[in-house]
Amino acid sequence: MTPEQIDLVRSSYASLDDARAMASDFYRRLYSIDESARNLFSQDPAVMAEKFAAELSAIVQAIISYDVFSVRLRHLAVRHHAAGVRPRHYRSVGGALMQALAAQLGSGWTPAVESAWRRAYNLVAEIMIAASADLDLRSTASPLLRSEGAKDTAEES
Amino acid sequence: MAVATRWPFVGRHDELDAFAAALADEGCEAFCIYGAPGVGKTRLADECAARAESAGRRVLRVTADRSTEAVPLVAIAHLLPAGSLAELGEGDVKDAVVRARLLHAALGLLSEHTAAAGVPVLVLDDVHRLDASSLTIVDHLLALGAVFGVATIVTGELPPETVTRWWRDERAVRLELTELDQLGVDTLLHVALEGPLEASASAELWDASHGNPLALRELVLGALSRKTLVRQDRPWHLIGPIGATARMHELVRARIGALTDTARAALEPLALCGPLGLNELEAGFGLATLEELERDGLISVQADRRREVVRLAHPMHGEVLKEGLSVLRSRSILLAQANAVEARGGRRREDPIRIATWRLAATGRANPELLLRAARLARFGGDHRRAASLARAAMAGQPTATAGLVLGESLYDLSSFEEAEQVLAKAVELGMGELGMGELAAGERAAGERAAGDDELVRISTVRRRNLFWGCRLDEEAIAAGRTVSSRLASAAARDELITGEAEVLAFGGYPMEALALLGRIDASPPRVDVLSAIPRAAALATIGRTAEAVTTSQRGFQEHLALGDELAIAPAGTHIVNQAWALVEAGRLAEADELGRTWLDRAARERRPLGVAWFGIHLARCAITQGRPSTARQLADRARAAAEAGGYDGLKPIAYSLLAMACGILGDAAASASHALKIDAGARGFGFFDAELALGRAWAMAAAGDVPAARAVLVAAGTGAEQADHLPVAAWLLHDALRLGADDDDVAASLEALAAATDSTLVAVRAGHAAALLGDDAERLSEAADQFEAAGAILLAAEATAATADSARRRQDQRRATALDIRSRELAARCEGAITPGLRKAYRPTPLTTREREIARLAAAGHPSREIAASLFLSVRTVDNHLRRIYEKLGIPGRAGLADALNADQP
Repeated sequence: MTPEQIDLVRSSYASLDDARAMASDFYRRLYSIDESARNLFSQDPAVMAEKFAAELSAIVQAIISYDVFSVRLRHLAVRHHAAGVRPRHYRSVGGALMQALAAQLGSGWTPAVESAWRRAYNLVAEIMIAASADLDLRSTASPLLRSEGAKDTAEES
Repeated sequence: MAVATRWPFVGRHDELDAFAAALADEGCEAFCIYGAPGVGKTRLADECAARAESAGRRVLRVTADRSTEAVPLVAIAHLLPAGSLAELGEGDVKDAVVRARLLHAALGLLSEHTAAAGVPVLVLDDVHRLDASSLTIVDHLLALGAVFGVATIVTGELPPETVTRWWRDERAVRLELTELDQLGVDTLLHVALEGPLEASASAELWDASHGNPLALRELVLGALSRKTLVRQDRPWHLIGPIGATARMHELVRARIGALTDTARAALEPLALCGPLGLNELEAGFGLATLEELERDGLISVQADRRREVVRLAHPMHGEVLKEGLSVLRSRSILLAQANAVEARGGRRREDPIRIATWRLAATGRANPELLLRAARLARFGGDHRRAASLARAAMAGQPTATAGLVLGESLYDLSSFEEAEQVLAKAVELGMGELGMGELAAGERAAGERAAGDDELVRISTVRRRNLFWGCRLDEEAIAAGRTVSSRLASAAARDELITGEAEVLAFGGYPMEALALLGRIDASPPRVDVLSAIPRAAALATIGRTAEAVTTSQRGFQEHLALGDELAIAPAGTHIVNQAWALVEAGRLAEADELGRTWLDRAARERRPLGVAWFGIHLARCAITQGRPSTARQLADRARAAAEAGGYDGLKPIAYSLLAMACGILGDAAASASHALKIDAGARGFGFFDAELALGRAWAMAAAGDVPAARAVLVAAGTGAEQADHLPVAAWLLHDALRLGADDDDVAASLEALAAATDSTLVAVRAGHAAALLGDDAERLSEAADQFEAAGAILLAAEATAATADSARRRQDQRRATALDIRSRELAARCEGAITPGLRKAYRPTPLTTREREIARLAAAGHPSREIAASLFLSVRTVDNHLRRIYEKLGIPGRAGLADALNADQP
């Protein structure tokens, strides 16, 4: 992302009148895109919307400082992974989020703003998916077997 | 190295899903990944293997390379029990018996690696390189379902029939792996470099790599090690050309080395000359060769207007190819192409540039007229560097006034201000000499000659003046420069043009009324003069607060500028947009200013024009501060500062520092604010029209440090001065800020009133209304002012006005209203990115509930009627109701309905 795009994401999010309403709208849209997502979340919808809005706000503020940003996302990914979230869910989430933002921002959803949010979401999703993949890898016990001459990674696991 | 230790793997989730599906499919034997070199096949195969492992499978690898290619079966030796190969001796795998024994042995070993989850996954990297014997065995293993294959095959080389049949016979899934798209590259870079990249760096890396992950990695690592890609004071950006690494050169050489001589020869003109027409290349090298190159992914053919154009698929290849060419060979290729284009008539727009550039590159010389024509075209296309080098060659070959003009202007665009002045001074001399001015009086020259000569002299003077004012910061010399020529001119249009130049210096030098008066003397107005005068006119109008006119003047100026086409001695069209953005900010049309500014800022960043970034950054920062977004303003002002630094535009640094000081001051960062404020006066002189505004930075730095009275004094003095100099909206800004810092002088309010009457800016009007209301303690008008600030998008000002209204209510003993307004003020302030100003600090002073009140409030919020509360607390109903009334007052709510929410909000 460029600094301008990070700026756009922050300012457009700050300009939302009601972030919680956007969050509720997001969940509605997510479930209509992907029914199976319903099973992932078991809490009260109002609480979920509140948490989502808060987390998103924190993430948006953090983008500019990569260390803070990526650590936060990694922790988030671990919790999501434990709850059953898998890479394919990230696509539906992305779609639902863009729609919800567009609906709430109205004329504020300019092409530049949209492009910036797509970049931001892609970045978030990739970092989280990579973190979840690490989790999967660490959980397997069997070593990789390679042909002769290649490095034996057995010791690394 | 500031790069993630393992190069990230992004964007291939569909592919991983496809692999998982193939693995789970019982009828599927293998997953074949096809793709161009460097596209990431091996990495994808590795990640697929990792996925398989986490699903419980064992993973085995077979690597085919030059060492194993020669000796049969060595590559798969590890799939066989120890010693089995030796047993076979000279046996040939084509022999069914030998094959059966090998398979039997392999199957035995493999069954040991078969987990509950399924058979092992066999990674076959570069499977097309596998020796025939190994391939036969692997083929059988796949068919028997003893292993699941993950194969990588490079496109462009014909793989063995066996491999192709895997997917043709529907035994395997074929996946075509393509380059990453721009989104993928952007994310990849951000993760790899662990931080954001500036737009220009991102664009350059995209252009150079075209989404090829290997190229991208090599480019990034190379640029990092050569320290041309840095993250210092700013996000990642390039401070030099990207260049290619030694490894890249190797890879490219290997790829090109494998081509036939004809094919390689076809790439050479593309490397030296850039994209060429398909028809011409075909005539030279034949369609078959070109088709082969296209199949190999080395060239791409695209439609461009009415013809097809061939270009190298990877610009990096061009660099490597050029290096491999001898000087003589390069020269002959370049000359051949130049001759070819000329022979065809050279009618296309960019043809003169190409012919001139190629001849110059080949021999160091070219026809001066051609060079000049090409230089002008290049400049119009925005390629100032090329324009300068062509014009310099022209000037060296044949010094003329025109050549001096083109060169001087290009140098100005490249910020080489001193050299530009030297060249332009010489050009004036040449121009005067060419017309033989020393010998003939003005009236005696032939009319046509006179007009042409005049025009040229005027243009040269205009550029020289512009260079002296904007570049060298020599204001007096700038005014003088035009005057020496003016007295010798014959035509009115020519004199008018010089007038616009002088008006420009006056307007931006801070003398708007003088500028407008001067512009009033223009009577004739050919389109060029109209466009030129729009610049100082819009600027002057914005300065004196005739903002609506300023906006329309700049809009019209822009449109007419575009219609002019290729002109010399004229600023870029974006100059009008800068004026427009400025006027919109002065008008208080903040949302419009922001939208316009951002679009053009992004464009300037993408097109790598630091001057545009600096100007738009400055006006966007001014807008952001007015809107109450100090953090955003700080970033924008910093970008403007960095761009001014990078481009050598010292005259813009004072205002950038002032904005930084102001933004930091509003954020409460006293140390940063003070440090920036010091730099305001440290360097070159700023432009006159910004002079008064610099006081804002100085004042807010003082306020942040705690010296509010001094800040006020600075602002009032600067505001009064600005008013006298006819800088009206700025005067209003300065005086109003003095008010925000506590000035209670009736004169200030009166001045603001007068300013509101003299300008058409809504913002100035609201500032004046606010001032009057504040000093008259008029709660209703204060409330109105707050609403108007909010409507205009000036949220911080709205928050401060609301806080003032709350104070007024408190003074009138209306506690309930005061609290409600305090809450509202806090809500508004929360949208101001952490701003802390004296006007806000007065805002929220919570009046705490007593223990008894809290008890009662909780019960009431839970739904108990007063009767019940009275009973449980042993109080009379009347007492409970009295308590409740006081509670509603303290919380600023009308009644029970808002109680639950108010109590939640009240929690610390």
